[in-house]
Amino acid sequence: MVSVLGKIIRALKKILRMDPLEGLSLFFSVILIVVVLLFMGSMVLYSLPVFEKFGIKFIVGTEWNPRKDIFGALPFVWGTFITSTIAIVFAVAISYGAAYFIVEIAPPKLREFLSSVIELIVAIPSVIIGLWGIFYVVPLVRDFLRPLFLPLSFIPFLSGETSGYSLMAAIIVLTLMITPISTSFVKNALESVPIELKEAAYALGATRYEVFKIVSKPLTRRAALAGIILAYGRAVGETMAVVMVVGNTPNISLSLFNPGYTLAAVIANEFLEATSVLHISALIALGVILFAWSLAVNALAILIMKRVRIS
Amino acid sequence: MVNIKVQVEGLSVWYRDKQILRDICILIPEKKITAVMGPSGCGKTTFLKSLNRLIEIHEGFKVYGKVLLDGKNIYDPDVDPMDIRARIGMVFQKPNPFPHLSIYDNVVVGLKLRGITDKKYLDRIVRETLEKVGLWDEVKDRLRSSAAKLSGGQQQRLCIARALALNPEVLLLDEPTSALDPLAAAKIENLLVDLKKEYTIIIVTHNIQQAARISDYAAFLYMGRLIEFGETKDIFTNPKNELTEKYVEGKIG
Amino acid sequence: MRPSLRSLTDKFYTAFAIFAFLILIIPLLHIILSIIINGIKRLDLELITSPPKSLLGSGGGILHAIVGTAMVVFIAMLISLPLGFFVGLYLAEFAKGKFAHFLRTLISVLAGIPSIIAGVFAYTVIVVVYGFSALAGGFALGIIAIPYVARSTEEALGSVPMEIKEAGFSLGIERWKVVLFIDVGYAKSRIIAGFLLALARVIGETAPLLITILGGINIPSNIFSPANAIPLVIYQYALSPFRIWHNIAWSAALLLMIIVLVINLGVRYYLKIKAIY
Repeated sequence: MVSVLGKIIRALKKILRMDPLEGLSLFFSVILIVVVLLFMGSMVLYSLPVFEKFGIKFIVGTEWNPRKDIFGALPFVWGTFITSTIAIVFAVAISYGAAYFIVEIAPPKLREFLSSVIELIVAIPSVIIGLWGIFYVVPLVRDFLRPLFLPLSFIPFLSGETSGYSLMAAIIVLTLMITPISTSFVKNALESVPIELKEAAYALGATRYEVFKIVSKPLTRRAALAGIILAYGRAVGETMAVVMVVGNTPNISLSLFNPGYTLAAVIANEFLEATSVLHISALIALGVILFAWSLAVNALAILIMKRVRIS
Repeated sequence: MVNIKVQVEGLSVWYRDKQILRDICILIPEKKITAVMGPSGCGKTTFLKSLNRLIEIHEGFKVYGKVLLDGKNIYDPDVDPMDIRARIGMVFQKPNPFPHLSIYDNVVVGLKLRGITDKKYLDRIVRETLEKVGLWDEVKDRLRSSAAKLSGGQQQRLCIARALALNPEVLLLDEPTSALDPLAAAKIENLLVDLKKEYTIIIVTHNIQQAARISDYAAFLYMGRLIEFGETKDIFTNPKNELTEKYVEGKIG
Repeated sequence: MRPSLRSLTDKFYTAFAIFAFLILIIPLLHIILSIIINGIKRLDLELITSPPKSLLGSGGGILHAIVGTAMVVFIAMLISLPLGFFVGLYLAEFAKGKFAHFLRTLISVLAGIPSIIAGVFAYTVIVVVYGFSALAGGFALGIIAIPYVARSTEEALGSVPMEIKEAGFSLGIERWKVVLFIDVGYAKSRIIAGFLLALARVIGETAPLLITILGGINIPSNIFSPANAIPLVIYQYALSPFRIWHNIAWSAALLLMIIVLVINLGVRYYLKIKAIY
């Protein structure tokens, strides 16, 4: 008891002797911590009613019917999963290609310009991408991609009719949004490869691609991966661009031409019209799932980033 | 009479609007050590990188003139620079083994790129080249561990082994001992003297004593020009040019 | 045979890289061009000076949204600038060991949270008390901006050379004066640049506003009244069935894009000039 008191007194003395600016900035830092705790606490608190009522069924339930007060999150989890996963696969392929182009192929004079263009594109608000998606991507899916893939419609992923508002449209829009992000990371990683190591590989008679394969790619794997995971996190939580084109229908469908729904999209869409306590609680609970999801993704990125070796 | 392995004819190199090398003509004898000396900034490294077309991976350089390897201009349009670089090995100023590869893979990476995957053959090459550079006994028990864990001198010998594994005809070395302690440097010097039995060696150095110790022929570059070239003993005891004399006496930078 | 296969592989990947780059850049150019072409028609004085006209009338503007955005962003900056600045300053100058690590991790977590979640948070603590309001939206955007401000401040202060700090200390003045007048003074332009980029980052945020400010057609009278915002108007008008409103959405998008790009380009230019000294 006394020792605890002693500790407190010593801590207080330390604070009193602290540099005033250190004290002030520490104070703000503590406020930030409190805000984040409040953040998580209030979300969990508001989501409790729906978890109490449905338990695990809330997460694995496939029916979402606010009118009957039945809430199952699986359609949104599925929609978020399928759109973000396919988008990141496309994004990785394009990012590596584009980054390789910018770093190894494009003339150095152009390199800096292209890098800034890509960084500026990241700054475009997602609602603008969504607006463009409504007027260009949705018709593209309906009038071009659907007929194009008609011969392949025996594949479950490519079956069915479409209005254009679909998982496919969401995937295209998401890919466009996250590719500049991952490209930027991969590009920075490739640029950080010491020229001495590239020279060593060239001096052995390696081609440009072989230098990339044996030196640049393995050396930058972690840094690039961390960036790709961050981009994936963006895809998981992206709201506006998706809500505007995905069709907003809570079904679990394999076909990418069908409309779908994502966690972020349903929160954005139903929050204002939700009147029952349970409905609001269910939407906030979806927010908790989304929160946990992006937290896990970011934790992974931070873990990988920490081990990035700068040679 | 010695054979000429590399013949440089009127080599000029520009970097953007600056001329780095001016009309260099030089005959490099086979299976000898030729030292290229000169104060820093005289174009030594550029000269070396022009000999295996490594200069071409850097933007902004323009090369004029000819570099004949066994009488064939390596800058001819029908020549693949990848082949040239495999025939002319290179070792750099700072030891640069691939840090993410094992010692073993560092040695064979060039061979693997050329499509050689026969394990027995690769094992043999690893052993032979590592023995040649005097590294085998030190690393034979940890061939699979990372090359980044070796000491600076060991790393540099590994880089020489990496170049030798492709069985090159010419070995270019760019101040290979400048980043090493004197003991490790001496080991490399002895190694080079051994290697000249099999390879034509061109070494760039700003260390005058080193050039005197190990080279058979010496060239003195100054501000992009070849001032003097000849047998090392002549260059050091009886320089024809005043600049060379000043340089070997240590009066130029 | 081998070498030719190798150079063929090399050519294949070069072609792939060019293709990938075009796949990346062409849609993005298309986005920018279509916004300019569709948006230029109605990017006029009326758009930015008048409130919306009655439901189906032609013309009308988005003054209400411009005022709303100004209000919401102002509140967001009021919250995030002091908090982010001092947290960044604490991390750069004072924080040590585990606590510093914890704080940095917290900031990374905050930066990675989807913006809609910040809206949900604002709903649970502001909307349930004060109702849908500019305050709630500003609060949500403020939460989003904090990690950006904190990070850029920490980076800016971290870039102050040791010699400058040592020179400060050698004058025999207290730590807080050194930090505040010498370090912050030295990194001032980069800190301000960070503030501006955070502003550009939140000005286009839509999702959190969707569930916090309601977005009607009135010009908000105070921070407790419901408001609209430029990005929210884009969303609402884009989903409407009317051509006239689509045109306004495109023009609002052009306006927003210009604001965001001008801030971004301006900051880059500003830092470039400052870097000369």
